[in-house]
Amino acid sequence: MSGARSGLSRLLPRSLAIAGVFACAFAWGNARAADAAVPTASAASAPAAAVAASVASASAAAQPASAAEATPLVAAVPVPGSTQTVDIPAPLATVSAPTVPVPDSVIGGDKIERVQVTDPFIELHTFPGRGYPIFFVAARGEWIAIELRHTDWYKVRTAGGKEGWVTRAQLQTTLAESGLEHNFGDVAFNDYLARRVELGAGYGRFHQEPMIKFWLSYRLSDTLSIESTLGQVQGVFSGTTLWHVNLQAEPWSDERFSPFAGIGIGQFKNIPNQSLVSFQTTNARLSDAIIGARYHLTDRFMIRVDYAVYTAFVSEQRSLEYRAATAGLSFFF
Amino acid sequence: MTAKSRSKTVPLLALRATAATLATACMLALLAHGSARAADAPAADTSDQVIVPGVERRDVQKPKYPSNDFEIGLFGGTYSSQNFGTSGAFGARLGYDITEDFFVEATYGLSKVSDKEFRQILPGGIFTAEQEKLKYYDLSLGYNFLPGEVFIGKNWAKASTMYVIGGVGSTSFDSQRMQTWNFGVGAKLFLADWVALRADVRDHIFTLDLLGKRSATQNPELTLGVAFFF
Repeated sequence: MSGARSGLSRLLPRSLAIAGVFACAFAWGNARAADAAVPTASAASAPAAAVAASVASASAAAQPASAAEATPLVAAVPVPGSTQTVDIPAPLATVSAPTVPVPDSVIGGDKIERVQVTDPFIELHTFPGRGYPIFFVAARGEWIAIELRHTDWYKVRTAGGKEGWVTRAQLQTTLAESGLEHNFGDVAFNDYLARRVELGAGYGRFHQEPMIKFWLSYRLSDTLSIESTLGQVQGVFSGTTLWHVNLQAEPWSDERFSPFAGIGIGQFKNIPNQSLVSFQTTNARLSDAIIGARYHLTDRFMIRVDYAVYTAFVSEQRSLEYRAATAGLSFFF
Repeated sequence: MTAKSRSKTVPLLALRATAATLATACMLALLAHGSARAADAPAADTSDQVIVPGVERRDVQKPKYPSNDFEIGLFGGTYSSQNFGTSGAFGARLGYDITEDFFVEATYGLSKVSDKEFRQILPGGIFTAEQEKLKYYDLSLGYNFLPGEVFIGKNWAKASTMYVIGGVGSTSFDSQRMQTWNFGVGAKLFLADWVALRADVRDHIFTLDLLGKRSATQNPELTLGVAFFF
């Protein structure tokens, strides 16, 4: 009985402490999310002003072309990364972008996106990758249709019917049919918060034995995610497979270094090696508590370390506790 | 593991108490979430709009393109087990191109192992049956290198790339399951945007104690396959 009592007194405070940490982290994360929501809400309540600003900038962007027609010697060119504009001599032969109509050969139904080239030229590769040869260039003012995307490469078709692959960087400044600059999205570092599905794998120790695990998580909100994990532990005498589904709080998910905490339930299955004389498979429910941290290497890749406490409810009378520490890599889809 | 495990004797009551604690924590967290959401709702109404510009709102649509970052494929070849002979192997792959350089891939493969050679001197054999099914799965990270074009005859040039790949997974046969590291090298030849041919050399390394002594084994696999991008 004393053993049972000590087991109870040891197990409960730890669970309480972990649950407390989890709840605190979560409440903190929500408080931060609420703070962040205020400016967003005010921005949303003045959308017309934002639209007016963007229209103004668009007409400003369109102006240099008409100005170039009137006085073809000087054009105002904004210098990236500074607020100054510098006057540089405009080229003698200027292609005035808006006067080139969309050729029929580039029109291909509603689903095809058409853009106009604003760089001096864009390079068409034979395949999506920097190692594949450039076989064609499309000049400024040409309309191109975007047909397909593969990683950061876009397959485009020119007015002349040439099909090739262009990097996102080269399409970044192209103009859409509306005359506005095209937004190719998910290139900004900030956009990683909009990414929802994460897949990762890690390696570490589970009760001093090697463990590998894979996880797939879905972000319900900026600070809350649901994560399913499949783990495998290969010991000298037995192998264990476990899976669990966690609810995870990540209060600083907008930071590059972001700690998280979670709790969950799952299943634990231990199969001893058949080479042992007597073996019995253990199949039990488990609960787990995890703390860890992510570090964003890029907008899509992360390093992740975590520490977990697993409790396997082997029978009504008995539970086993294991600790595991793993490190791994994950990425956003 | 069973030998080393610490076990605790905990009455049923304690288990329920733990479960109840976890459930309470969940409820608390959800409550906190709800109240935080309720708190930021009135904030949206507080800002007054002084100027109402007479500009029509433009309907801005974020462009969406079809993409083909996913890959599904079938492969076949030979699997050479260090101790239990070489057999045909086949399987399926599911991959995802993260960037133009990196990709991840899950593989499931089937082959056979045989203890025929041991049965000549050891009548009982090692396995229960002479031939056992070998199954493996793994998750690997690959890196494309040496991209370029290869020429088929005089008029055809096709894109191709080499890749190195490595990962972890599991191999099982004869009711045993081994944690398995794999690494290898391969080549892809893209026939079109949506289809490629693949050749792959992969070593599977796992530790085995079926022959009395625990030792790491090298199990190379040679396969050819076809991959479709979607």
